Amino acid sequence: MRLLAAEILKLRRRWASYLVLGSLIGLMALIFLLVVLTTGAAPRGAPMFLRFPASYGFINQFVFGLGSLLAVAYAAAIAGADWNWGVFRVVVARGESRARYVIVKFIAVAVFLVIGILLAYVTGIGLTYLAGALSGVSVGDPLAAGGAEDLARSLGFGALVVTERAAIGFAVAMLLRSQLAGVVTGIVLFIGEQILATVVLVTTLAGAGFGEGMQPIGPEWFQFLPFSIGDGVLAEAPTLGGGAEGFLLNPVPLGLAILVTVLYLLASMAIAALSAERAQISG
Amino acid sequence: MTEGDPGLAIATQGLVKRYGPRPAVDGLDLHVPRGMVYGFLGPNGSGKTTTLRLLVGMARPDAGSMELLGEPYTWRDRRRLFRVGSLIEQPSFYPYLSGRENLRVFGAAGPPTPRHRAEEVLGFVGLRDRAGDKVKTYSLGMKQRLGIATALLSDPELLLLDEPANGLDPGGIVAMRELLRFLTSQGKTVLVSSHILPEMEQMADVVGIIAAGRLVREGPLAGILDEGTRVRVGVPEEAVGRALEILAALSPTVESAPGGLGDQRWIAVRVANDQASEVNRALAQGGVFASGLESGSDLETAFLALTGPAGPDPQGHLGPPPGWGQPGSQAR
Repeated sequence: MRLLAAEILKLRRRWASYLVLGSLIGLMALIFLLVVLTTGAAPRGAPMFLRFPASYGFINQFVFGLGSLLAVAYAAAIAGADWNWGVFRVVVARGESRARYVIVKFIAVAVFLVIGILLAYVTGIGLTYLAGALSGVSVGDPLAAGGAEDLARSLGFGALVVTERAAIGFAVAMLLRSQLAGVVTGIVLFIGEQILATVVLVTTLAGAGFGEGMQPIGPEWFQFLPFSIGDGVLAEAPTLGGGAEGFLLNPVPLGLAILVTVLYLLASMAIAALSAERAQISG
Repeated sequence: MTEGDPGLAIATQGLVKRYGPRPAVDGLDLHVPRGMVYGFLGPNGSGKTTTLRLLVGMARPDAGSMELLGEPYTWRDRRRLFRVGSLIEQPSFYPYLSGRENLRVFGAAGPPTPRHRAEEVLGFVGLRDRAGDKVKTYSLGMKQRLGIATALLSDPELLLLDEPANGLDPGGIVAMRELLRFLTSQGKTVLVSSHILPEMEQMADVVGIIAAGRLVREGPLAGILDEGTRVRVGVPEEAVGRALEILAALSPTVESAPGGLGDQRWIAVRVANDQASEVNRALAQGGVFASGLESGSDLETAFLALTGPAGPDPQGHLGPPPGWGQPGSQAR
């Protein structure tokens, strides 16, 4: 516990912890502000996402979409900093178990991510109310019409997905032993996988003779890639709809998606711990 | 090595560590007695830091064996390090945490460390007044002090310090020396790696001199200093043969020493302490006029005689690098 308390102290004192959350909330607030400014001019009045439970879909896209990207960068930065500052060798020289240290460090990161998700979510709900009030529309009851269930599902599944994606960034930074390399590689993998999935999807659909009346295909192999599998978990959470996957691809069954996500999370931790365990510190 | 020597805090046998084809440590046999300050000396790149890394499990040896605190040790025996404190290479901290917070987070790793211990060690190194400031505002000397404090956190039986005087002001160096003396008076063992020889001469009880990854001399400091005065004489290159003949009559220990600038070559001769002045006179009477003369019975002279003024070259040969002292070359 003292090791976890020390890791949490380190994260509490790092401005990156607040910068990441602030960026997410700031961008979300900016979107809400733009909505308020344009609502009066819109021919059909306030958009759907200013009404609960549809509003959860909008918040989810922000917190678990952009939030995932920020989480990957954040976790990689935390893991890589120990190498950059040379503090990992101090820990090793004190006789601490390398694997234990790495895993506890990630648990602390995960605790901060979950707290960040909750804060961002609460802020998103608050912004919905604020935007609704400024636009003169009623946002409805966030807990009515299955809202409470939507909220719980969103937070539970979203926290799992963001944590799993962050774990991949964390493991990459541990392997590369560098803060910058970890952040850049983590983000490139995250975005690269999305691009790959889109390219493969388009190619697959073209091969299947995409046209009117076509039924959704899949699940396809690329939906099981480390970052994409999270979309299968989040498919059960409210979305705004309109994504290509919704009508072109069948989602991975929820149980299987959760299982694969957990496996990726555990595998990432194993890779991070093993790479730390085997590392020779020579400079 | 199956049984440890309880009288030794550290023992290595045939220790080898290579980085690529180059051995950084090449068959090192080290014997560090308990309860003393052991000066681990060597030129830059001689393998001191690599040896320390091997001793704390940061790196794994390619061959050889180690004993730590009287028992065989491998890099997997991490719990043995609970009894060892170390400061290896430059001190490393979280720059955005205060000195006190750094001690707190390092104290959470490894052996159980009571919270009040951080205040104790801050007092040892004279850093209590600035302990609440962020480390990124510290000077090099303050970071060095905090590094020593970190090494002391677990009240270790064995302390490994790599160039601990780096960045310390004279007052800090004196305080560190007194601290290390205090620790050995408590029965603890301190290994100090350094190339600041006057400092080591005041601090060490036993020294080991390493060059090109090998131990070239090990023993009580007093013994090395009592071996007599070492005189290094610079003579013209063409007079080296004649000078060696003259000096051989004065002392049985005469050898061409590493180093030399231009046409000058060095000869090292060991004589009794009261015979140092005889060297120049004998040479002059023999028609050889020295262009340089250095003498001393100190550690520095012994060190230079063993390792050469330029230290070993990357291939491990002692003496000046190629081109050193040649016409048209520049001294480093």
